[in-house]
Amino acid sequence: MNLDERLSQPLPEIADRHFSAQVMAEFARREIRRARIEAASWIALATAVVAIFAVTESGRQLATSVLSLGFFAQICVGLVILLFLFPPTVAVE
Amino acid sequence: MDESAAVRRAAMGDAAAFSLLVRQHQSRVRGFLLRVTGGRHALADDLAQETFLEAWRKTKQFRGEGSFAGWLLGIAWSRFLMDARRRKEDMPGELPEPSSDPSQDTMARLDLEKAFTQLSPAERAALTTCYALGFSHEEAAALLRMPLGTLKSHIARGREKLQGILQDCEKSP
Repeated sequence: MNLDERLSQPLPEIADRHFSAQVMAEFARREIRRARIEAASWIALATAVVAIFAVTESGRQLATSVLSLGFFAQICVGLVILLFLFPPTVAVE
Repeated sequence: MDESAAVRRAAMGDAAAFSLLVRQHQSRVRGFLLRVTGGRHALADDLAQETFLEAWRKTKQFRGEGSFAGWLLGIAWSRFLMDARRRKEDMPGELPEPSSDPSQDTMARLDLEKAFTQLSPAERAALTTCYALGFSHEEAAALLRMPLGTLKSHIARGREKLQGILQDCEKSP
């Protein structure tokens, strides 16, 4: 058999031996991790927003003025829509 | 389900369709990576897993211009290069020992695999895609992301080296 013939032999068949199942299991594991990170990001964002309004003087003043203007509900709805349109993205490797 | 349907469904997030694609292509991807890593089974399988996970994330980017197998091998090659750059090392391969009564064909394959470990990764990849996997030079150059001329140089140099190594093997008892 010359070199070209030897090189043209197909690669040996490799038995799956749970390889595909392992790939899919790893995929599921990473999806769960991604979902957890995403949920944690939302919680962190909500906590930060509450903290700004509750802790800082300017936040309290803003909250008071917004409430006094009667726009609180509209602003909350606007914020929720903005968060849905531009959700916090997290790179998962 | 045929391959193009499985690819379309996987791109829409169907994990079952993607699982089918993994089963269909695992042997080819792992075989290719086993060759380019110089017979390192564990590393080849790790890279193959990363290849499929990356392919899952990027399935929507597959435009069907070439074969899905070629697209997967392109990802596998990129993964190998990234890993090689990170490691910056050249460990010896883990080629299987020949059995006590190996057939002529097995011996020839072992000789060839052993000889392959003495080539550069690019030479191994170029020869494997063009010969064992049957891609044209143009397809191989595209999936390995190298200019056609470079690919042809790797093939010529690799063939020359293999010829010399195998001749030495045949001369020695």
